[in-house]
Amino acid sequence: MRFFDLAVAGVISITAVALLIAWNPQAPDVAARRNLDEAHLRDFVTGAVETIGLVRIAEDSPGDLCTLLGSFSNSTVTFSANVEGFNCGAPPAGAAVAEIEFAFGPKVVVLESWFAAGP
Amino acid sequence: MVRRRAIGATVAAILVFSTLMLTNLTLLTGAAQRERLSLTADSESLLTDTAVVIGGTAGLGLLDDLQSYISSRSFQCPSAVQDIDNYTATLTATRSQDGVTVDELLSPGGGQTEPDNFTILKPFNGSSPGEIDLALQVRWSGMSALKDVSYSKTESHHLHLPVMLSQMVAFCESSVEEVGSLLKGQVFAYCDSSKIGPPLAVLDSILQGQASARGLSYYLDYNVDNSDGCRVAFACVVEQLDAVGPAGAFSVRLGQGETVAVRVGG
Repeated sequence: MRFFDLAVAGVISITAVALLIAWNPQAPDVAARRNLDEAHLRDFVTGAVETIGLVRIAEDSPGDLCTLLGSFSNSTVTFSANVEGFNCGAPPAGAAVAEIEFAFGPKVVVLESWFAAGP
Repeated sequence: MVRRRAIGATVAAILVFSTLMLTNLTLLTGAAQRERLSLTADSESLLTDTAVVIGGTAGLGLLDDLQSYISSRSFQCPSAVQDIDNYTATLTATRSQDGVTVDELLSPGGGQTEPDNFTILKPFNGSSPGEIDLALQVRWSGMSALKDVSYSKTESHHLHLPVMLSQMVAFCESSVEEVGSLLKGQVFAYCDSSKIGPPLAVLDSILQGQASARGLSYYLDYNVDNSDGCRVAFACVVEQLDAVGPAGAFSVRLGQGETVAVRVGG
């Protein structure tokens, strides 16, 4: 009889703990935060593109573009570019990153931004 | 007694866990709602940002096309504006990316000087006095991947290409008139380049100086024909050599020719 009681209590507690883990609100909260981060970052990149202009993005050398984007970076957001393999800087691992890719003929320019503090 | 305690403990555990699970479920529901809202916000952001980018790249493509057309031929001075306007009116572009489609239509502008907020196309956004003025109609439509956000917008913008077309046409026509007047107004000793050439060279030099002061380049081509009376066929050519368009520097060339019967003798 005691064995039966222990078994029932065990099943209930295991089920309860499993449900607590499965219904963990942290996962959707993390996803929501990431979605909003990506949306904000994409807005930042688009804003930078509107300020710089497509012509300059197409014509600037990778070094000049990196310097220009560096002037847009601040303590919150970091901007970077990848121009045909030349990269101004890489985001920290796991960080939410927004990217916009432009193809100017054979030249492909990818502008990126991420939050400076990382994920 | 022991059994009753065990049942009590089990019931208490069920109550505690149920409360925890209900609380957790409530938090989960709220978090899931926040995730849905964030997805909607992300979709909206993706649509609007994509719209800006493809609107800009499509517009740049249209300006590129117009630059190629203008730089690849020599225009007749009297018809240059009309030719360029006619070609401009044929330029359209459609692009799609990430659920957004943009349709753009370029047309000749009204000639008024207006600023424009389509800054993604700078330095070609807005009108610029004396340069080729363009109007750009932009129509966006789109739907997010989750079909929860739709996007529809129409805008009109002013653009320009830095080609001093009206000034070039005016200079070209006035130089043809001046060369024609010179040839018609003088009596030359012989129907020969050695007699006709020097006054033309003087005028050519004056016109080159005037063109240079306007940021233009000018030259005169002429040919003396004495097979049937004395005729001089000439062409005035005006160029803008340093125009900078979306595809880099380019040249624009206008020319106009005329054949004039020259008086000889005296």
